[in-house]
Amino acid sequence: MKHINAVGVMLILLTGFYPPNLFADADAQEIVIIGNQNTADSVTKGEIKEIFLGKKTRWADNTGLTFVIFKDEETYGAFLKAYVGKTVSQYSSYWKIQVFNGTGRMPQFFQDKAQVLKFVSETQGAVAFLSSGKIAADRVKILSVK
Amino acid sequence: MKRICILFTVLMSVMTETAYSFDINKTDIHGFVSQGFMVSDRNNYYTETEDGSFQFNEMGINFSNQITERLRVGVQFFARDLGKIGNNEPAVDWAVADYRWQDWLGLRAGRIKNRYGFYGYTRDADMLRTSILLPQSVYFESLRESTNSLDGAGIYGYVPVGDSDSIDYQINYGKQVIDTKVGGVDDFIENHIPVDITDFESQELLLISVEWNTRIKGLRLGGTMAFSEFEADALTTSNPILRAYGIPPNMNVSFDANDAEVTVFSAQYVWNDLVFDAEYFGFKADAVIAEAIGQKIDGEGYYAGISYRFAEWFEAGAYYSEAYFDKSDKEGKGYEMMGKPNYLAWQKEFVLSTRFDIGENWTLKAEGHFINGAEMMFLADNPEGLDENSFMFAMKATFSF
Repeated sequence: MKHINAVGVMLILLTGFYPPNLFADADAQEIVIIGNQNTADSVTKGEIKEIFLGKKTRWADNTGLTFVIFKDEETYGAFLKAYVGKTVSQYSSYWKIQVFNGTGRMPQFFQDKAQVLKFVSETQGAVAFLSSGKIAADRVKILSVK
Repeated sequence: MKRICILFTVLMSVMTETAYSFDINKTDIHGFVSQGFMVSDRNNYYTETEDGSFQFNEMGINFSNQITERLRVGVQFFARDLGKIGNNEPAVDWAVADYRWQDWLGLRAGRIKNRYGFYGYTRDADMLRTSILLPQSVYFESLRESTNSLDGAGIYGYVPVGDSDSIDYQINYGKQVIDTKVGGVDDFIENHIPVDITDFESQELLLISVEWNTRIKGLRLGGTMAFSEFEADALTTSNPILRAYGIPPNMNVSFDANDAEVTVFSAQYVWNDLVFDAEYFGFKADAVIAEAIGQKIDGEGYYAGISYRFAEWFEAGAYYSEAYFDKSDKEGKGYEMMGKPNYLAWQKEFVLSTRFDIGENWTLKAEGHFINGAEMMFLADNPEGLDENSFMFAMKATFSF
């Protein structure tokens, strides 16, 4: 019984001392994935990672896929952590490596939510992420994440 | 060349701090310029580091355009100076047409940059990595041109495997791009083989690179294999073995490196801001002088490293690296038999690095190298001989956009 208590205390101490967001995926809940009306209605978490790393450039029907980055201070880092598995600096280095070796093109970054919505609205196959809230734009829909 | 560097720096400095690139008529323009300084207490490492040296810089500028949804073209001009390597002579680093037919199959043609290990893509642009010098046991600067790029064609792609794994691959085939006398490959050969290279014949290179993004979050594994054969014209140097074969100094001979093979195995684990790396490098070739005298080369190197980003503006890292020119003689008995110090057979380095990011565009770094052995230091740069232990300090500033 003493051993069980000791293990219990250690577990409580360990979990108590970890930073609260170490294993948490809560940030993901405050982010929505949006797409142009002609995109799929849903995407998997794995596909989101592939899209934003430039690995997936076509939809299942073979039409082109493009993405833009909403470089809002809070949303950007939270999105990368929750969906791409990289920090902001790691993500930045990832794309610079493509750019300086001729293997990829730097994504477009927007700091304004309205610009993101405008781009997605006007670009077939476009995908982006935003902080949750009112998403009001023609030809833009929220994609469900499976 | 100094004026060009200054002009380039001033030009880029006046650009807006937040802009990361130019977009002129849909053409992306990116560039970087780095200036470093190295100083050592003993032994000259690449350049005259014992006196302190600023012969340590790189600069590059690239232009790329997405012509169609699937076709992209681009070119990068690059120049660098690292002691005798580069001498700031501008060269086309890569110039490629890239047709991405599907995610799992794309085609590249032109001068293609090879994916070599996990960090080969970062070796020319300082802001892409934590350390100033990559572990030289795997990313030996003198051998950069042997695998850096090729003139030819290749395929690449991304293939999901199952629900959670995926493979990135690249297969390139073409002519090696080796510049005689400023590339550094000749320095490496001349340091170990009794010849003075006068001209390289570009030879075929096949490079296969595979990366496995595993289902374990943050863990990826990789392998690079390069196969080549190259020929060079050379002059013999004064050497007892050559004399025994009746070959005098300053004689025009051929130098061949047959069945040259480079192998790199890589592993990386990323946990939030913490990155662990380990890589192994193997190099084999049959060196033949004057189609008569053979020498088998079978070297290896490896390192393990760790880095951590403490803040948006600060990162620190450390690695330990070992390199051996002849893995069957790690204690240097062969050198001892020739009356030379045994520590020419190995080089062990413990390196501590710091990196400071000042905004989007500037990076400053400082690092210390605690070195035992002198396998990768050239006798030509150290005419008074090499010491077993040395310390080197390096600093570097980079501007990129």
